[in-house]
Amino acid sequence: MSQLRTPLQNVFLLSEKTLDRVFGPEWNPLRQLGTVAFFMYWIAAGTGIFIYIFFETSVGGAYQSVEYMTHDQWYLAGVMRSLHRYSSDGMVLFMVVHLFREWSFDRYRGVRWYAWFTGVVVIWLLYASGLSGYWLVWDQLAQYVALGSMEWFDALGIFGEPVATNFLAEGSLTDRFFTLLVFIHIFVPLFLLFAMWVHVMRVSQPKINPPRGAAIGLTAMLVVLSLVKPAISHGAADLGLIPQNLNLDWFFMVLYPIFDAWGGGALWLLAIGGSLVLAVLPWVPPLKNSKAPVVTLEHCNGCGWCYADCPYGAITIVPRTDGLAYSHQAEVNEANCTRCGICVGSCSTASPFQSMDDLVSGIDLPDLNIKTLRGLVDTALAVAPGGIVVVGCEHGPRVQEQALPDTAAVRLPCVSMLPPSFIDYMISEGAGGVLIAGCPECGCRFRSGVALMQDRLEGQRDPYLRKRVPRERIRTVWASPIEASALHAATLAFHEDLKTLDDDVEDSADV
Amino acid sequence: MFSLLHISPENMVWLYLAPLVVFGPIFFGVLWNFGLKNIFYPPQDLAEYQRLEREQSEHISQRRTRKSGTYTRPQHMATQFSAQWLGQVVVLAGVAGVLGAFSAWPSYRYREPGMAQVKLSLSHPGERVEPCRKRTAEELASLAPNMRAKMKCTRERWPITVKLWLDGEVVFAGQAAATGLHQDGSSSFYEKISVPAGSHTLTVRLNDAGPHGGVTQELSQAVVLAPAQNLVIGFHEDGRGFYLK
Repeated sequence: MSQLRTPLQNVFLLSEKTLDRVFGPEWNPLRQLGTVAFFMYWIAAGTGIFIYIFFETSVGGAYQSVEYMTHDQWYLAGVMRSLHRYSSDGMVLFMVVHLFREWSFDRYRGVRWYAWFTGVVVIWLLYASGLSGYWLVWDQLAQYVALGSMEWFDALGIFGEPVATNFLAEGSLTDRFFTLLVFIHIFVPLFLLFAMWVHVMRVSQPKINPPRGAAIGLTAMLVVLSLVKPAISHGAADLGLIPQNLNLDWFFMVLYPIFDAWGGGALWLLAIGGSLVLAVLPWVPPLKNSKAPVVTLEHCNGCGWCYADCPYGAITIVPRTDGLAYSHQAEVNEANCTRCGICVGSCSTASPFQSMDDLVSGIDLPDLNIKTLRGLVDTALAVAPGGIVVVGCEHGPRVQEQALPDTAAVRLPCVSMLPPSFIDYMISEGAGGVLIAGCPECGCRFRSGVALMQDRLEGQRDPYLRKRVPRERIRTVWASPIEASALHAATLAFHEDLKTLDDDVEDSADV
Repeated sequence: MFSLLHISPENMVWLYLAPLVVFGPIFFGVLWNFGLKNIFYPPQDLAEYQRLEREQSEHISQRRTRKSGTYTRPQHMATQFSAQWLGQVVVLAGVAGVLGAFSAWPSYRYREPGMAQVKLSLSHPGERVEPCRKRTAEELASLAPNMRAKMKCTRERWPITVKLWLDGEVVFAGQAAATGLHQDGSSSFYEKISVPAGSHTLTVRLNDAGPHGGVTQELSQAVVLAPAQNLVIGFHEDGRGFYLK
């Protein structure tokens, strides 16, 4: 599977790197696909409420009211209609890219199965929402979609009388039917919103809104598109005629030609089979997880820093159970834990300034506890005395592939697993500098590892790096695995800077 | 196929909710186990839990205001400011182009020009496999008073056979079983046949009386089909038989 994922992942990494230069990491749409899809939903919802004011829920009036909006009041209701369509299309577009991106980055297995699995439901509801909207226009396209949908349902063979006969000929439909359609087109999107909430429910502090600048840019894009190419209807529906040429909205209607060609049974097989395949993908094969973090109560003071930093809500703070003088203690929910180690990095008791025998943290990864981490750091310091210790993550630039003199590497699941006290320790123990090399900004595999590390280095978040640590001996590189050259160049430049720094120190010592 | 549901425009909402019916139980199970359960049955006393949550967030927000050190994060806006704006416009225009194009292009030809369509749509119950008969007085007497229906009818109905000829050539032939668990409902046909526009002779025959019933309903009529016309062959249940619309 990884052989399939890696090429696509590289395409994404390259595209993201390029767009980072254009938008900056925060505004980069490829790094904001989920939030942009959410934003598209809000635009569709808002414009939908507006155009509902002008919409007439009757067989004869539906088409005419949409035509009025499109042509007579093109400057407002017409633009709103276009925004409604294009934002819905945009939601499909961004959702599909989001799906492929998460798949290619292997962000769907392990504890992430939940978001992936619920995402499959989101897909169904998004399509149901969009297609029910197309019926309301009641033009030839609506006729085609309505009949196609009904014939598709008939292929299930569970209805006594084919439901498509409701669209048999002129006069088959009543105004009440359009009231029902409006009801569907309001409530299915509400279900969709609910499913979207469920989709992000297991993530701690989920980001559902894009940055303001990105939102403004996307809105402007949709408005310009609506003015340049307004959404228009086909001719009015006529059940006595069969539509010939149709300008399908391919974002929503890509399955209809397949239905025409293969029939309902094959399409059900494709839709249900495809959904099931998607739904079980997180377990094909299942992610082999390392052991989840464990809390050592004698060392946990219940400070809550790990609770605050965990990007997946895997830690809760509960009342003390061991009778120590602290009021709370941390508790790990293994089912939510990605084993990133961020909690270890945030632990107020994770300090390397102790004898090896006493090295125990309040919360620790059993497979990579801070004793082992201290050992790795000590080895790195021994390999490159006075040189640079590069601390990298498993998903950023490959730090261990660098072969530079006076440089040693330590690789962690996430750079934020490194407690800032370890940086202090490395420099105290003679490291010339510490280079933190993690995932690209806004592209952290564990959502907030990069941001947390930056906040800790800047002193904006506990545990922060002590003031005494010389900042000029710390450098960060946020890059993807394909940006080996960026890490290489940064390390070389850091060596040069450190050399100058050491020369200055020697000069001042001479004086 | 047996009939589980009878869908009409009034209750058609279920059609679009069908995916929810399929995924619903699984979805609810997931929802319950990973979210709702904690809302309804928090792992500890709710008030205590909420107090802890509140205390944590207040504590954390206070700590976040602390500052120390002079580390500044790297700047990513490496390219020229104006070039960036231009780049953003180009990228967003590209996205708009994709949205604008594929929302209505390429066009799809559903039916070839010069073609019309004949739609056979009927729903009609076949004859009973065993005809109804009058109960004898002894039979009636043996039944409970509230069950003494004069006629005794079995439920099963014959499947219906329909055959359609266009200009003497068979274009459709099929058989539909009665719906329902006891095969006591209507048999239904819904078929679309694409035909060239122009003059044709349509003949449709129906047998609803079993293998030895022969043709019980028939219609033969000359029709002129305009291009793109949708001609419906329906069936009146009031005894008038087939109709064209």
